[in-house]
Amino acid sequence: MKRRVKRGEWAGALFLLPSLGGVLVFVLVPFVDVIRRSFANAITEEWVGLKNYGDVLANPAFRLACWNTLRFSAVCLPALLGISLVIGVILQKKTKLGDGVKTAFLFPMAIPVASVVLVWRVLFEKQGLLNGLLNSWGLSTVEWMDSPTAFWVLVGSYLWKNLGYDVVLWMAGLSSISNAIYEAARIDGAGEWTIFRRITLPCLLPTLFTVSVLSLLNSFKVFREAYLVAGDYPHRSMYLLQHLFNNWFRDLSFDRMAAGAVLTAMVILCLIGLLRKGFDRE
Amino acid sequence: MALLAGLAVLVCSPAVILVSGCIMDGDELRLYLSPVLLENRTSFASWSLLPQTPSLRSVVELLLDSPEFFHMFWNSIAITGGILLGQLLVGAPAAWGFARYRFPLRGPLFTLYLILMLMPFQVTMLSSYLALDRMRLNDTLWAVILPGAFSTFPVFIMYRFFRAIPEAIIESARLDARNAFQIFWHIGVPLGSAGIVSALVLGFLESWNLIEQPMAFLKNKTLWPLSLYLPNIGLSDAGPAFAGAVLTLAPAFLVFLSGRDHLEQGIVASAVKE
Amino acid sequence: MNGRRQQIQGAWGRILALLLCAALLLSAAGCGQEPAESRTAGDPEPEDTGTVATGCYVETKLTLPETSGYLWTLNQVAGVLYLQGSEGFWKSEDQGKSWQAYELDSPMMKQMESEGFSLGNVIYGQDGTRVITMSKAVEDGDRFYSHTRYIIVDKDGGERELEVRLPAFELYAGFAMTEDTPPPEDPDAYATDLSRLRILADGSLVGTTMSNIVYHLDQNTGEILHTIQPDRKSNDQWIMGLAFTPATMLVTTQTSARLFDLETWEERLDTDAINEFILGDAEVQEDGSILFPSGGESRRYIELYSDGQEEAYYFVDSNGIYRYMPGGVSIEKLMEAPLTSLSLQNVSCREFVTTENHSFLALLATRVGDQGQDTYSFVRYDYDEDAELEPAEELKIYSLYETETLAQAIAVFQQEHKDILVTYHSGINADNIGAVTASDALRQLNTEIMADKGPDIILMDGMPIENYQNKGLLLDITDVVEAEAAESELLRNITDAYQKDGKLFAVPAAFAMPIVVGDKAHLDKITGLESLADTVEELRAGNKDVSSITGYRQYGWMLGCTAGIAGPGWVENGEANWENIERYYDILKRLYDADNDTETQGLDYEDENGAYHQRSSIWQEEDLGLCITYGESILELRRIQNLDGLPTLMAVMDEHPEIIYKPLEDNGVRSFTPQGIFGVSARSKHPEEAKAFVRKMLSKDIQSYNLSQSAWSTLGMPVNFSVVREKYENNLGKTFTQDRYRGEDLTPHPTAIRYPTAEELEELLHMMKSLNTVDLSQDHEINAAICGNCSFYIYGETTKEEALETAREKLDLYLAES
Repeated sequence: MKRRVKRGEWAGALFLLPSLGGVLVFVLVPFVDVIRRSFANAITEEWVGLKNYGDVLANPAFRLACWNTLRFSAVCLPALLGISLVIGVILQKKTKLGDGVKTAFLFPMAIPVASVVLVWRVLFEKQGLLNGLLNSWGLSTVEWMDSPTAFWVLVGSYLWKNLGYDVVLWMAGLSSISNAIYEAARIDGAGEWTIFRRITLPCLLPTLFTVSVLSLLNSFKVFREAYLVAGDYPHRSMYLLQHLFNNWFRDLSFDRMAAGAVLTAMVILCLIGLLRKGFDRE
Repeated sequence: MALLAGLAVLVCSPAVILVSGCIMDGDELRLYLSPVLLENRTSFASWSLLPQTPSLRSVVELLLDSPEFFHMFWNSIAITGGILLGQLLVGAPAAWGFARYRFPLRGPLFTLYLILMLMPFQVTMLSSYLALDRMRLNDTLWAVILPGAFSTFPVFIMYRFFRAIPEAIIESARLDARNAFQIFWHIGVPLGSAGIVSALVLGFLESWNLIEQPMAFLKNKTLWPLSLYLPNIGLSDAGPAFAGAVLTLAPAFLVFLSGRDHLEQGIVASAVKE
Repeated sequence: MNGRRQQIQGAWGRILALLLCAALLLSAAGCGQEPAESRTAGDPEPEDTGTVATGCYVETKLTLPETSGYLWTLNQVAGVLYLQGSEGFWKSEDQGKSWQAYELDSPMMKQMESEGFSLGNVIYGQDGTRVITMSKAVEDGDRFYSHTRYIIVDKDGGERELEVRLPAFELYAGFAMTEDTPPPEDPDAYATDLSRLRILADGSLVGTTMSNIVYHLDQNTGEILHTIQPDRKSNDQWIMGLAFTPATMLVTTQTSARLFDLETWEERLDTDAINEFILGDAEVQEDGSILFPSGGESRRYIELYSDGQEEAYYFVDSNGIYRYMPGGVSIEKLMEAPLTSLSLQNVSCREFVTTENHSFLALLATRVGDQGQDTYSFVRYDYDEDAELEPAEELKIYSLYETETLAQAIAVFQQEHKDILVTYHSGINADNIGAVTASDALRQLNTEIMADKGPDIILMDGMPIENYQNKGLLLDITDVVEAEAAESELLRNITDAYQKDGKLFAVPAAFAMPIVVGDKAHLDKITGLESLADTVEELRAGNKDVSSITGYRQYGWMLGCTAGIAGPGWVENGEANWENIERYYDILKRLYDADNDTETQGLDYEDENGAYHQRSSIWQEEDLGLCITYGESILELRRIQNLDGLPTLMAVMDEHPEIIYKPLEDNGVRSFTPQGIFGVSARSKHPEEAKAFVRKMLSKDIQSYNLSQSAWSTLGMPVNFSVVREKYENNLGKTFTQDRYRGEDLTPHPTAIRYPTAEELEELLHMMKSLNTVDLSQDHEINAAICGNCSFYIYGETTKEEALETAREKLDLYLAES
């Protein structure tokens, strides 16, 4: 469907200009530089074609990090979306308590990373508070950070921080579905579950897009806490792409880092594309 | 429901730990935390929600005795303020442009913005450093403020709200022969204010917490913001560490509280009109 | 509902605004409390506010009288300089260009000399009066105290004696005095000894005693007019400086300063600035003790001076000359030291005076060698407007961890290359408010290097050297090593440790070597780490009551001595060799368990934080071999970083011929830990100067200075063996006795010392040359992965499998990345 661009529409471009200019300079140019570096040697900057990509894909640490990051997203996102949806549905009845609960869930978002790290150290160290609790209940202690449990600690941290945000988003979406439809369905004799499946869910699809993108974004931020608590080399299960990039940087492997970054970007691009096709009703 | 309430309390517990640690006396803190912080460990860390000997000494020490804490506080304010102002001035018009106009390349540009938003910092760290260096911005606060001000994240948020404004209102404004900018200023901004505020609140929480950027671009330690106040917790530093954590938390908490309703409204408005 | 909501919103908004205002106000107040910063003033006039600083102080050397004795005091009265030394008096009427000896013409003094008193000091007042002190030791039962008499000479030469009576407790005051110190036998005895005697403007006298009390005396009657007690704010009470201006008097210790008003003799409280300045980097702990950064060795001296006529105090330290106006809020830095002799680590300023035009004259002492006497020099600092404050070019030196070991090299190099400014930065330093890890620092360094803002010279201890080498970031400095090797005896096995393709990119300037000392019968059995563990277990089985078998039971110590030897086997060709790593864990555990299986806890203690410390009575590096002869241990396992312990060991071996020492090895692998590894950045803009600096680090000059440092502040053992020969060449084989302080109460034990003979030096050289492998535990990540996790296993907190598992995680990840 071809459309002639109305003259007034160019004004939009003007609105965009300052932002675009800045983004170009501060965000896009560095990114393009990264792409360039992915095809060159780290220090001498000679062109090496696809050699870096080959190195990266063959690198076991990269594979592990990819796997972990994928696993993390695959576990976290549905979990977060699901749990927050359930909570959102429960909190739909507007009560004072519900309001308070909602605020409580939102609160972790405001806690600065530095403060969080402090508490995490106290809680999850081998001799930390949680183990102390377990010990006093007669249970055996758990190696929180030095075992596969670390992965779940990370997931927990992510959920803790982002539950509130997603709950609010869902509730917003839920409140947009007019009551009339619900009434009509109930008169027709539909059960709660059917209503949920046939009415609620479909209406929430657009919200799903927003929530997914934002949650994905936040899942990358979890690296900060992980790094500050566990350092450069955490437990295998917690070793994310960013750890790898960080370390490659330290070891002067800028070329591999760039190649890895470009690969990651391409994957994200595909993901976004899929999500939009699926959920975004523009 | 009750389960939820319990969960909610659990969720807030870390903050409670922080606050209670902050008002504890140095010796008590040491007592509780030594198993975690010393080498030869046989016992477990413990805690008590209500300190036996409450003392504000760590807080006072931090507030009055450490001028560097104030420097960092001011740096944080400067950085956050700069970023928010920039996001407002630059991001709001951009979001408006994306939301209400259809110009060529709109789609791809928007996708571009989306991708750039999702890039982790490590990836572009070196390249950004080199770019900033060429602009001679390194080692000044601008190196952190400018990239933050041009972040694409607030654009994404504000976009949603600007889209939510009914076309009818815009049309009527056009009939009144208002030019594009006036429409933006008099209609877009007020009606989309919820979105703007929520973008600002989220932006505040993000900027207040910046860690990688200041560490990478600011070599001069006097320019470091509060988020980098992370003394490696030795026993003598546990008190100030907790106090610092709480003091860093406080402004974020205040902003969060005061912006919460706006935030909710904004989020509501955004998701609704899709 | 909406309205109420808005009300709440409004309320919150107001509260927020209020709190933000409060925060703003508080922080504004906080800003006012900024610490006193020393500004560098190019212009001597402090009132000048707008001019741009140009020019700086320039040093010129003046003469000193010929004397081989000590030089004690320098005074200035009416433009004439008076110098007092152990061999006489001199004066100079032309500001130090020439000196004339002079005799103290004092009949009273000669009279007292005939009574057995000897000359103490001559103190000068600004109006020409002088005080001569004469002292004699007086018997008091089986003790002695010093009795001092004072001769006051007025400007016309007239003399009289002043009788000074101080309270009796001052007779034995000082750190030797305890509560049980009995009073003097003569009940009428009184003390008379005053040090730091000064003549105030009004002629009255001020002095201090060993108990750090300041006395103000009337010059005519000797009556005590005022006393100032020490203020007990910290454990550091010892008065270092005492000076006065027309209106005030300043009393300084090593870490504090007190200012007194001379009219009222009350202490002034506006002394924050000067206190901060004197305290410097040190911290006063809760229990009153002082914590100096990076060990007490680096405590700077500060010399205090005031001519008594200007309302200002001057300070000199190794960073420059400062001025303090009483009550001022900041200390003004008048002169930067880096381009002058003051910045040299082995130079201290003994005395200095100010002259016209704010020039300075300083008596400097240079410490030469261990036993040698100081040499003196007399210098003048003049302000030269045309001289450049800072050279335009900069030579940057970088090290990952902050270290003081480069200070002397930098100072000497700077003196020799005045056209380029040498600066030093470290990645991780005490300045860090936030916790910067080694990785963060490395990332920052890498970013800078890539942006062409990197350092010229890198001290690579703790950094992944191979990486920098392999990626071509370092310059080929083979020529530097070859040049120095042609002139001195370099240990090529060490300097060439990181050789790649026949070229040298990273050169260690020092190293550490693990050795084991003990009975030959035992040592012969120790050919590797397993046999070490076997021997220790055997010995322990037969000697349950000895405190330690290896000398020092602490895990960290054992790790330090043995990790270097096992290290090379841990990673082969980029793959971790888990067999070797497990073997090492086993050995370490055996060593630790066997050594700690003792009935004597010895000097172990728990500190106030609950941390348990194991200790033998080894205190110093120079106690090598002594814990065996004192029966505290059977072997001694050490990783030596300097040669201070060699003479002691030689004497021990004389007395016990069965005792020998040898490097610790593991089946042919004799490892060493390279330290002070220098590289020049390939992107350096000053490659020639950078190479010259590296050459300097290898040269005899700096290597011998390094050799004279203690274990805390040394780079390591020298790679330049010529300096070892030089150090002992005048004293080969000589014996003498020195006190060693051992035990809980630090009692002195006179200990025999013998310098090595020429043959023994050759043996030592042979041992050093036989070192053939580089210790891999230098690599930070490998170290952290393997050694870091080992401790849990050793202390019995986890099983070996768990510890290995954790190490495996980290190490495999690290190796996989490359």
